Amino acid sequence: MSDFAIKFEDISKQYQLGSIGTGTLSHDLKRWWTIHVRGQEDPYLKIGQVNEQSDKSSDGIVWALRDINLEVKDGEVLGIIGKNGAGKSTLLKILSRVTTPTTGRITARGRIASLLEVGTGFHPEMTGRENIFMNGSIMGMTKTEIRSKFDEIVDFAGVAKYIDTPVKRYWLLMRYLLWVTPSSRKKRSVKCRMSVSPAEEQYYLSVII
Amino acid sequence: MTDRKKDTELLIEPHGKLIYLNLGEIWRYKDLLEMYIKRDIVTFYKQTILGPIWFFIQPIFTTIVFMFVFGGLAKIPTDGIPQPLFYLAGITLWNYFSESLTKTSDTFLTNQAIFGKVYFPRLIAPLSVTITGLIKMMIQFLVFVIVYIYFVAKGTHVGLNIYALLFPVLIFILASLTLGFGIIISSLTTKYRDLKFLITFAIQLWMYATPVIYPLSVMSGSKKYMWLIQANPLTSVMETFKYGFLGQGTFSWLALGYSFLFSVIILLVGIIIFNRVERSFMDVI
Repeated sequence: MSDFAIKFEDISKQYQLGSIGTGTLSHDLKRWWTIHVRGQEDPYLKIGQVNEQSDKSSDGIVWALRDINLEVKDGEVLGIIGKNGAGKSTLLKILSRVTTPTTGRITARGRIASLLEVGTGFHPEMTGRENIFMNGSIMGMTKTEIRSKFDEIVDFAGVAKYIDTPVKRYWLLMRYLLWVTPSSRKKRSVKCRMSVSPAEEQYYLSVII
Repeated sequence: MTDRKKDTELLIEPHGKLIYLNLGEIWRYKDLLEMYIKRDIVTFYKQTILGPIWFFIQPIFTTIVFMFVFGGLAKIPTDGIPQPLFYLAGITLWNYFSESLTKTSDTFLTNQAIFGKVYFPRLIAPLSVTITGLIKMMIQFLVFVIVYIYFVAKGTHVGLNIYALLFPVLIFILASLTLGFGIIISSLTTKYRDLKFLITFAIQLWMYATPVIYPLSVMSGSKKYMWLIQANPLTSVMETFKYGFLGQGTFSWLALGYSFLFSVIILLVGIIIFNRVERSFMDVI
């Protein structure tokens, strides 16, 4: 048995173009009819289409990912690069179970933690302290885990003075700091980070400097 | 080492099982559940002077309004029960149901930002709303108890009896119904939101089909609507509560059993539909 941490097998993801409304209902009904009543294959799962952003789509669907096969070994760090709309985020969204693949499967060993975008899970009315706990638990940390790291987080973010003030009164960078610290203080076997936003980049740069 | 790894092996596939209720996983996230509940309770009265006292004031105001409108103007009888007690009993239970149902039926819409970023058992969100509602209801129940004691001290006859012990069962039925209906509606409104517009209206109508502001005995004359009210799983909950605590109303094991069964089935159906939707709703919401 090979010693992989994550294995992608024939992962594909299909999205529907355009907006959802009365029009998509007939689309849905047709799909349901063909699969469940006539017992045929999904009429929209056509093979051999090219995903080209500049082309006009004829059937209103797009393949964000097509037959992705890859393996990441234990301890390996993998970076995925590609132009806008290449499917990097989609891949990570499937891996972090935000959405499901259309076909294929992923086997992962260990727990998966995704580093969120800044501010997700922050409640503006809650204090810094409450938000640290909230954010930590959204990412799967237990209360005891957070409590044991609490001082470290507050120290690192340098917000001791403001910790009992609602986060909505914080200035931008302080929110970033408070957000980014718990996530980087966490131990997980599989980590995936969605994308580096400019603000985050700046933060990491400033830490390095 | 390999054994431990096998435990945490995770499989991501297009379709899941029909009934997949990973209680272990929900248990692992119990701290998140607690944080959600705490957040909802605490943020409710942030930046208010009276703070948590608002939890008490709400039902009292509604009761006063009901006493004026339904008791005073419409002159709907209360089966000889003092009006404040009668309305408080109805409001306590009904408010829990309607508030929690409205909120859980919005689960996917209100949480889409966070659901789109990170995975945790989605059921945590509606579950936390239901539990938060329960806590609020218990606070309102306390108001009911205080008013109750006041009337007892005044010498009014209130027929507390052994059926009041069914209260936990009533809570279970109410909670399962709200959670069940809530997650069904929220699952059905991810792609097509038409249903959303009907919900507020439906809940309003539902209140009139439930003996909240009137006792069931008032309706016993009209054959036309009686079946509807008896088919309503909330009817026996209301009536049992009033029967147990106030000694008035209709109680039957059959009606209560029906409500119990109804709520369990709704909850199961809800979990099945929710599971189907939660896996990929992010694509269509």
